[in-house]
Amino acid sequence: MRELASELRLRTRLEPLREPSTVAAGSPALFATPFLYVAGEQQLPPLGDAGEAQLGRFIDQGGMIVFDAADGGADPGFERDVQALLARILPGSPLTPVARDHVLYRSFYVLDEPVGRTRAFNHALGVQEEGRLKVLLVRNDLGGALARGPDGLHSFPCTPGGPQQREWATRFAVNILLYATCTDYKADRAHVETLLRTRRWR
Amino acid sequence: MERWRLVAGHVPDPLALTLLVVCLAIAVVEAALALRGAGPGRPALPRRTRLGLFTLRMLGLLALLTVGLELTLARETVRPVGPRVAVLVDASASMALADAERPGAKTTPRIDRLRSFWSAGAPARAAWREQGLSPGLRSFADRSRPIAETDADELKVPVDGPASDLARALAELAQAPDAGEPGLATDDPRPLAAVLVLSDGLFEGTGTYGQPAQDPLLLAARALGVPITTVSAGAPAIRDVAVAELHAGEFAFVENVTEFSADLIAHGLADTPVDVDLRRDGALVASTRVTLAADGVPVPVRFEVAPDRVGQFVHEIAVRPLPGEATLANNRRAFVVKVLRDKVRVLHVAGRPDWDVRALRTLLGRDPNVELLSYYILRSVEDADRDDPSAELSLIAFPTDELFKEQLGSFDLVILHNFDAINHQVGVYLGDIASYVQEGGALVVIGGDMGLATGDYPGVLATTLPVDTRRPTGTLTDSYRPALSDAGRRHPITAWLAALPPDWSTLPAFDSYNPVQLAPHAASIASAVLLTAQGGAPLLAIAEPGKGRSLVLATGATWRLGFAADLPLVDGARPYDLLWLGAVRWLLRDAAAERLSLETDRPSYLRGQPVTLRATALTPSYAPEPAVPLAWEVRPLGAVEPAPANNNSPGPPTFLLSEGTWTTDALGRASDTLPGRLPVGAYEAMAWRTGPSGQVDGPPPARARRVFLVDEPGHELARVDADPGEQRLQALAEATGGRFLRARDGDALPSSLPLAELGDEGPGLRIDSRRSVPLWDGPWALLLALIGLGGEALLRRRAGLR
Repeated sequence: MRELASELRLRTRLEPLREPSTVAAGSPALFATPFLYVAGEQQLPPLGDAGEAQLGRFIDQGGMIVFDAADGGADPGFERDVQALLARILPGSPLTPVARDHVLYRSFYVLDEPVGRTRAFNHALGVQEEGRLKVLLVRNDLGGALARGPDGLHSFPCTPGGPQQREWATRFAVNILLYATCTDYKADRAHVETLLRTRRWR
Repeated sequence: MERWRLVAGHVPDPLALTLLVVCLAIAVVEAALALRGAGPGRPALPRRTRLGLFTLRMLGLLALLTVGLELTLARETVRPVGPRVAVLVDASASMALADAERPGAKTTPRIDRLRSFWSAGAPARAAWREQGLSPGLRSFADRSRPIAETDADELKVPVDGPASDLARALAELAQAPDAGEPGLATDDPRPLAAVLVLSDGLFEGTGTYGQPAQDPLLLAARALGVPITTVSAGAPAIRDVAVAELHAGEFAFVENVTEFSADLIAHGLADTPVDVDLRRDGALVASTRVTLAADGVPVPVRFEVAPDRVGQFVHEIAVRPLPGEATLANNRRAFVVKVLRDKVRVLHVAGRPDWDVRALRTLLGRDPNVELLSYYILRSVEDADRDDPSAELSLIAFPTDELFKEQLGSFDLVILHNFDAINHQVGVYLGDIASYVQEGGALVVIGGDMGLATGDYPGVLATTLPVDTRRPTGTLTDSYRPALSDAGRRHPITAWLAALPPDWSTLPAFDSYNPVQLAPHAASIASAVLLTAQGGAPLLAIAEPGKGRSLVLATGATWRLGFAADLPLVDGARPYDLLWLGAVRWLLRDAAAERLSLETDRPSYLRGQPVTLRATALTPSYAPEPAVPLAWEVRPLGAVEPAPANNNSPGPPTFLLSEGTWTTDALGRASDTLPGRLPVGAYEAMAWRTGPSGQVDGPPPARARRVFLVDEPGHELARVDADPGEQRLQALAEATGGRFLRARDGDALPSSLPLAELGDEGPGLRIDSRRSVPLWDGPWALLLALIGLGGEALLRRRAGLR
């Protein structure tokens, strides 16, 4: 997220904190911002009843959670645990594919698919209710594509697309944050009409 | 009337009666022959003797007959029991119209013409009675009523009825005797033989009947089954203009052009120009001039208006009076229009996306009544310089000229959200935004690290804002808890906060603000500070510059009122929603922002219908407020308070019609129903909060207001021409076998009316009382018999007869 914050400052007018904060699910600090990024692989650690209840309130009050499967599609454990967690805190709200024409793919950049460190899945999953994405599950290790080591170099290679795929992953990460702050702004009629005109012209 | 009769108490059987008649006949014949004195075997007697013998014979026979038949003399009071004739006299307002035989001739009110006709017909009416007919008079307008016998000869009926519904009057005649209410024509059990209608023929719906088979008047007439004779009271020449048809919807949308139109129908005023006014709550809105057409030809008159504010208003289309008009009562028509806000059009411009922008966008976007147009600056010029030029972006140009010049007036609300206007070439439009506010627009400026912080609202725009925006304020990022000011406790935007602990301890703290100061001109634009930040710096301030409203929120942290771990709900709502919905309502002068509302169950009523008033009181957080003492009153629209006693100028009179007090129930509601006694006109009902004692401390409270109309059941005077009425009366008479007469032509009331065939129920008399004097039951009858028969025997003996 530190890398993403830096990219957002460079590419957009967003002014995220330079250092992301890490919070426990049951902590009041969870509500410091309405955006929560959860990355992991294999099993999701238990959050406890209080933690899960607070995550439920977080979403109900308008928060958005992005789950990022760091396995990049190699292990279904993380996704399975996320599904189970959501079944408890958002019963009856399953994860469904985010359609390609969703505003998430044009909230800043115009994108075609949610690539990350890997390109195992050509779509993201999400809980889409009340006109917004409450939860987004990215299974191509988005964080891995952006991660840098202490030496400033990228920690992991992006496969199969290499540096170009990393750029696309960065753009997708930017789009996620723009969507989180602007919601469906780019779905407004004025924008859609302008964009359609532009694309036709091209 | 009275009569005398001789009644037999005993009638013998036929054989005995035959014998009796034969005997009587023989006795009378023999006496008559003796009286003549001629004949064989009869001695010549003096005439006096013969006369005496005959008289005594008759006297004796009469006495015997009296006793034998037990004759009684009866004195009876009787009245005709034959069929009745229902006379229906039109008492609608059109009967007061004065018309004439030809243009320019002396006019006569129709009812006067009819009275002369009726008065001249007195002999004919007497002839009806002699025929056993019983005329019964009823007046009819919207319904029929009996005319007192004392008023019948002169037709003393007021002609002010709101409509003439002859079909209903005929239907009332046709009702079964026991089915009607007291006073109906059906109280009279006598059969109906004929109906006489005295009218101008301008019944409800005159001229609109297409199919005779479906004409309700003819259907009612045929159902009655008796001949209907009609008398036309009208004359062909009349001078008048009327607002005949009205075309106006019940709803209109503010700032949207809507059309109100009417058809004018004139008579005797062809090619005359006339001025027509459109008024709203009595105030002139527009005028136009039209030229009237030939008699009976509708002339449309249209007004296109764009209501400038929401609310409920009485509109009226009125034709300015012309000289010599038959009536002015039909020169105007009123109607109630509720002006609604179309979708609220909001322009939301933000200098950068952040959580505060997201919160406000989400709140506005989920309201289906808001048309939200957003422009957020997603990247700066520096960002663009760094970006890969080949990257396909979804960004669009910021159409400043279109938004802040061309379309600015179309917005109900403009929100500048942490927006550095000057950086984005909007500085040149700040004057336009200021004019927009002065002319009635609503503006919100929200702080953050740009805009207020960077001094982006200098110049003329600053004069419309309650805080000083001419200099950069910077941004302070200390955590703090806002404080509610005294004004804030009362203001609808923040009054709900007064119910919470005053130290803001139950609400999330804020983490940034712009340390603004109150503007030097704040007092001149009715500014008020509702919330303060640290050190008393204005945090939320409002103003009413010109016709518009402005609000400055010197922080971009209010999103925290909608997103916190232990966020309290106030009356079931998030504090963030309460704050912003209250702000938007106040900015837009939305009636829903008033915590007291008043409604009527309908916008207009027919005369006589009850009027129900309903009030709803809300708490500052817009939840139902129980146990609120309210006062209410109803008065004619435009009536004013009476002038003080020491003021010599009398001023317009006050017509307070009804008033009372309420206390709201658990759901914050209160209601009352006024009986239908209000006369025709426009009224306004008002309700307001009172203290426990009925008095209010401080300034007068805001009043909830509602207007309504009381109208006549029909539009009696919308058409005044007697010609179609005359044709209608003639058609009615022909369809039922009656006669058609014109009062103006000198036609006389016929002494012989066309009657229905009634058979055994024909003319007759009913005995109301009888007094009997028995002639046989006493000594006189016997004495007379002795005198008659004995005297004859003695006289015959003396005359030498056997």
